[in-house]
Amino acid sequence: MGFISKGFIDLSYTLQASNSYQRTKQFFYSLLEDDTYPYKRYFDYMMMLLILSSVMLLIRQVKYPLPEYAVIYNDFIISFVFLIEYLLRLWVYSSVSKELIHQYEKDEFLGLKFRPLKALAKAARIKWKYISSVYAIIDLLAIMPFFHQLRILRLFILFRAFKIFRYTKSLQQFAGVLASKKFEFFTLMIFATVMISMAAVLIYIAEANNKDSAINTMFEAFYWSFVTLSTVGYGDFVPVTDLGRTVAMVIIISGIAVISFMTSIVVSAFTEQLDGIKEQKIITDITKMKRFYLICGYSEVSAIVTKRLQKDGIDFVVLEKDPQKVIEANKSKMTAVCADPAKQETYGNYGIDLKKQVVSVLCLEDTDVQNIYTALTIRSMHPDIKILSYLHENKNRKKLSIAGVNHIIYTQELVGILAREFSGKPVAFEAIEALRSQSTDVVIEELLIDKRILNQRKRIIDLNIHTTKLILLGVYRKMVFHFNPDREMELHEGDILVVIGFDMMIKEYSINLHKAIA
Amino acid sequence: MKNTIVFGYNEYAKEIASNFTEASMPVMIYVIDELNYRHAKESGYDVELVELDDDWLEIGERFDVLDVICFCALDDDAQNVFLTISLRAEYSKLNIIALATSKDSANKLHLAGANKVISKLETTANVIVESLEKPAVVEIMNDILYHNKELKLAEYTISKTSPLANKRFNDITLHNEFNIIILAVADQELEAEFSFTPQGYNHAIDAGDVLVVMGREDDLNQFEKAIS
Repeated sequence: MGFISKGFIDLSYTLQASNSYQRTKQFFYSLLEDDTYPYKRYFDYMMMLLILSSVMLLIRQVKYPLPEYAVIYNDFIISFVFLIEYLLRLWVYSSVSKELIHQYEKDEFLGLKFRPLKALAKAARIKWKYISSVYAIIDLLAIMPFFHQLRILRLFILFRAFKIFRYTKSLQQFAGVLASKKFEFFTLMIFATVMISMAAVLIYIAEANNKDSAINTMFEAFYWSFVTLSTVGYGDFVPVTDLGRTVAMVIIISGIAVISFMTSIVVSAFTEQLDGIKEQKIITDITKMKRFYLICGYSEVSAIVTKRLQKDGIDFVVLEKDPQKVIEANKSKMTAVCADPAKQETYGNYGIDLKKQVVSVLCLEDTDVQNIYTALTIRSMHPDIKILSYLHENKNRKKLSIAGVNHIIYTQELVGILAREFSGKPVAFEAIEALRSQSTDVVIEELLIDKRILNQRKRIIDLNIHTTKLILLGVYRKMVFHFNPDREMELHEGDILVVIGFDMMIKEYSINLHKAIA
Repeated sequence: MKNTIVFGYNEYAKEIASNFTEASMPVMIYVIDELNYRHAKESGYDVELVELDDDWLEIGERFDVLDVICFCALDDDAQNVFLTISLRAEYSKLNIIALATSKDSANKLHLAGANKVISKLETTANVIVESLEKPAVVEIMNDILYHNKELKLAEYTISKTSPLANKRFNDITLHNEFNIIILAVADQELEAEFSFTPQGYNHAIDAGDVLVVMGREDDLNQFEKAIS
């Protein structure tokens, strides 16, 4: 193996093994190309700001000379930033060292002599593929003013405006939608071009030698037929001969056809892609959420549950396979997805991370069969996640447990117990119901004792709750409830205070607890 | 001892009936179809087969109307509304509790004269949301309400001779001696309007008011003796 090729291979392996190199590359890749990366947005905003300032300077300099610093900013600083961005994009697009290693290992395996040039050529081809892409060309042209003071190159600043496409997703989607109708647009273009050319030639023949006509050159003829076909019709050039006017009539009719055809292509492209765009937005919304409840099935119970969660400002995602119900859910402005919660691929498709994002899963579908199936699907993907399920028929209770449901809700049972409680202690029952249903301003709340509180308050009496108009029902510690605790009782981290009182007062009290004691 | 009447014999009615029999309270079941009649009979309940448009005079003959609770748990909301209205027309003092599927029919049942309406969907949804947001509260409440644990919820009516009568709520300290918490006080004059303790600090307690208290069973018994 030659000295140079050995150097290549050593360098490639070093780069591939280097953590900091890979991390840096990954960081720039995320910043430039990964839409789910949270900081990419800020990078995009910054670039858009640069572009806008550049275009504004371009407009300004049409009538007024620019000060020196603005010229430097426009021609050098912005261009330099763009150049760096261009090189970074080129860098993260593919990995040369990977190509080299791949070729090396392949040659080694086949017992051949290592051919570094072949690998480099392949790597260059991949990079060229990027360089020749439309976006990359626009990027390159946007850097241009950097190289030259020529006036004509100033127009390249306009390419910076095109760069905006890179940083705004909606514009990209717009372009993507139109691109889906490439064939139709192409057909229309051909038709329009043929019509314009024919009309231009005919009008030139008819009018060019007529003294009364303004159309004297071939360019004017083209200009006239283009303006007429587009149905704009400025009226600066008007045919005066009979032949010319006949041509005008034909081209006006075809102009209407072209315009309406174009409109219908655009409209149909959008209607076809609308669902896709909406779904894309939902996926982005879901990936942005940090913690949420996953509600499987939009049943009658789900409708009420989601309403309450919405009221409390708690994030959740609804998975429902019936499109009709999804429409209903979407009317209430919630994140609802038309997907089967019992299929593993659903979670991948919509970027739902059970481990990191989902607090607990609620199976609220219309039948026990569906609930069991969904619970099993989720349990198989994540052994520890909390699953709550609605039970329709008591005989399926055991099956739900086996499927891994942690908490079973059976309305019939709840109603039975409620009935007994109500008949025994109607007043007490109403009081508790009022507390639980949050229909009044008085609520029962949980307050967590965290490190910050514990730093300054060691015992119950230090909490000063006895001086407020709140009732401390007790302390919940490690699954045991200490009712009406002694004031000298020591607090531990993770204790939960169960407090009754006005909603507002509890909130205020909680804030005060966290404040430092003066 | 209070008598309980359950109308219908579906899953809800079964749960209600079994809860009362477990607490050894007598239960009478009225059904409107043959099949349920047989099922209820087989399970050992007192059952009567009736028509929905019955005049319900039998209830008055059989029970003391002031001392009976009726649960309307028929399958159909419309049937429940009809039943509630028929019962109310006959007995103005009867204690009627009706089950409703949705909030919509809950309103209708209230209008029809039910003393209390249990909305199935709302109840379920409330329990689900609560168990998500306040698991500790749910745990405690379940223990207090549903399981026969040491901690209990109780309500006591204040008699004329009670040491608490004619006192302002704020001035009461008696409960501190027994390690119990007074949750609420229901004023008879205000027709069972609640003044939760934070709001009811200045509430004057009259004879006939109901105190809702929470505590351990022994403490509660002693407290009851002390206030009577």
